[in-house]
Formats: sequence, structure tokens, C-alpha cells
Amino acid sequence: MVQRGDLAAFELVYERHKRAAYSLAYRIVGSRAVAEDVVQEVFLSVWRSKERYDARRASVRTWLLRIVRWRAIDALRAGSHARNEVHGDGVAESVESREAGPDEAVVRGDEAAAVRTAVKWLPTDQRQVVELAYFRGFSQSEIAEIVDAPLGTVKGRMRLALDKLRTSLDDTVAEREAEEVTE
Amino acid sequence: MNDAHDSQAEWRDSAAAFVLGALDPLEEQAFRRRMMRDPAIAAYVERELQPVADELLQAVEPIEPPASLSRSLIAAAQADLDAREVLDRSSAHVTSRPPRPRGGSRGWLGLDGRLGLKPAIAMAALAVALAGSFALGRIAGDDAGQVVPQAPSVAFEGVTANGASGRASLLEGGERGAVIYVRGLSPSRGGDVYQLWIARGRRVYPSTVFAVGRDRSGASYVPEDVIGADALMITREPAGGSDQPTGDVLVKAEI
Repeated sequence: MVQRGDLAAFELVYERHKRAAYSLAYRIVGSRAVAEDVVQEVFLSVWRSKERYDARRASVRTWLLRIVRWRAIDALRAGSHARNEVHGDGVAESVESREAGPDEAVVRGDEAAAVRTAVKWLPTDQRQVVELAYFRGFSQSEIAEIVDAPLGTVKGRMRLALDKLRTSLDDTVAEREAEEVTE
Repeated sequence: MNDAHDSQAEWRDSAAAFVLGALDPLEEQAFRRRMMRDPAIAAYVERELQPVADELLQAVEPIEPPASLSRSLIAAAQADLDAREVLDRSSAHVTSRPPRPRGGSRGWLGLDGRLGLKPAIAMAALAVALAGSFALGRIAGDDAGQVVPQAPSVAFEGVTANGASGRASLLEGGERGAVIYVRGLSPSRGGDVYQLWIARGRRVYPSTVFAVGRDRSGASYVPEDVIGADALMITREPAGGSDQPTGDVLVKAEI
């Protein structure tokens, strides 16, 4: 509908995903003004059908957030300021104190909560390389310089971090399925 | 056995770096080729690692975006919609400069100038202007009603371009962005463009670029917020625009 130029559908998509998109953009660029630019650019790009959604590959939210990440990293690289800084309180920051709205309820699925918890429990050196790569846009060779570690070590930390996060996610899914069976 | 083990460890390392976006461009290309050759690796990335990376995107501290973002976004989409209709009736051409780095003392994160919105809105403004609606400091008239709704505007006056004039009109009550229209300038040739500069204090920030047609008029959408600026200036620049003015100020609008 959005790609056919339905403004109401576009507004609905924005309302549904605005918080997740803006939160991610801000998480990466660390500036509300730049985050606004990134989100506006992403949604307008979607509106103008430059970004083609393929339902076979990902949910709308995942698809949008991937684009937000790309654009935010681009903005971060272009600005080059504060790229080494950590904005906000990190991916593992708890959001339990906030009341969940309809939009957030979607964001805060079991998997996302599990990932947040799992990220918290990652060893610092593994969490650091994930942060630098995924939320700062550094390459593995750049990260090796930043953390002053051999490239092979950095690669290993990334793999270990993702393996642990994946295991946590799998466990969560398995637990949920078990609960559903017992219910 | 060891070779096989080393190989598996190596591609698993690469797979992790790949989904985290940490491979250098050449490494990424090589890994993509490897995934194409080996479906098992591709499946591992897609089914095992990518979902984790996708979840990471949602595992950030939620922050509510400002309401103004929604308003400006919907207004821009509406303007785009309106402009498409105008574009269908128009044959003029407007160009925009590519995205510009943001940061330091100059520049903003511009919307992608190669896309439809800026040219579309600019075209809408141009069409409106050519229809004679630039008057009394506002863009008015049925065609412009939704594109630039009763926006305050400032006039360009010739500096080194005698007889040139124009107007910059704010979008959405001046929240963000504007549309400019100028006339009386020499037509663009050889890829040269006209570029808008926004002066704030002693600093001059580059903004949108546009072409001037044989009718000596041109128009463009300005994505940056011009509220609080001291002046808008237009110079002639090489193709793609410049980071600093290289040509004389042709017209200027004091704000």
C-alpha cells in the first residue's frame, strides 16, 4: 500500500515502527537531530519506493531497522564525531521501568528481551567488539587497532559473542514452546 | 582434519563479522561469493546468525521520537504526492546534489538528492511559481495549497547577477525545509549547477544544488532548517556542488 502511494498506510507504518527506528538511530548516532534526519530519510526513501520490501526475507520492522542501521552508520561515518563514544546506556540497558505502548509491545518480544539479557552477560571484551562493529560501524581490522588486540582475537570474540547470543535466543524459544505445550 | 577444522573456524569467524557488518568491502565481497558457492554457509548465516543480529537492532533503549518528526514526515510525503501530480504536467528539470557528509563546522545530513522528493517539491514550486503564484511574500493558490501551505518567505535580490530575483518559502510553517525559486540567472551549462548556501553567523553551510533552465529560472527543495539563518545565498558551482563557495554570490536573501 505504501509503495502504491497510500498516505494513510504510510502513516500507519511510521506510527507502528517510529519508536524502534528512532531509538536505533539515536543509539547509533547519539544525536537527536541526526537521528531525526536518519529516520526521516529512511521513511521517505520507503515512501518513494526506493527501498523495496521483500516479505520473504524479513518482517517489515526488521527490514526497516536494517535500513536505519545502514543509514545511521553512514551518518556516523560522515560526521566522524563521537564514533568512539557509547551513546545511551548500551544495548543491554534495561527498559523495565518504562511502560510499554502498543508499538513497544511489538519490539519487546521474548527474543529481544532475551538478547538484551544475553548481551548483559557477555564478557566485556566480546560485548565491546559487538558494540564497535554493529553500532559504530568499525571494521574488524579497525576494531583490532582500537582494542589493541590481534585481528584473529577480534574475529574470535565476534564469533563467540554471536554464538552465545544465538544460544540464549534458542533457549528462550525452546522454553516458550515448552510452556505453550504444558499450557 | 585439522585443515577442515581450521577452515570451518575461519568461515565461522567471517560469518560473524559479516552479519555484524565488520568485514572490509573486499572481504565482504569474498564472503558473499563463498556463500554463493556453499549453500550450507549461506544457510548458517541466514538462519543462525542473521536473526541474532536482527534482534540486536531491537534490543536498544526505546526513545520516543518528537512529534514534529511525524508532522514533517507526513507533510513531506503529502507534498511528494502533490508534487507527483505537478510533475506529470511539467517538463522542466531540476537536479540535486548527492548526500553530503554531516559534521564538523559545515554540512548536514541531506536527504538523498537523487531521489524524487526534492526535485518533486522543487518542481512543484517551480510550476507554482511559473503559474504566477509567487506574490505577497507567500506561495498561494490551489496548486500550492498543500505543497507549501501559506509559508512565510523571503526574497532573493541580485548581488552580482543584475536583474536576478527569487524567493525562498518555508515548508510547514518553517519547521524544517524550504523551497526556493529564482529567475534571471544564466542557464546551466557543462554540468555546472547553482548552489544554495545558508549563512549562520560567520559560517556558511552548503545546501541544495539545482539547475537553471533556458527560461533562466530554477527551483529546488531545501531539506535543511533555515530558521535562525542570517541569509541565503546562491552561487554557481561545478557539477555536484561544492563544500565551500567557489563562485561569486549571485543572489542573496537576508533573513
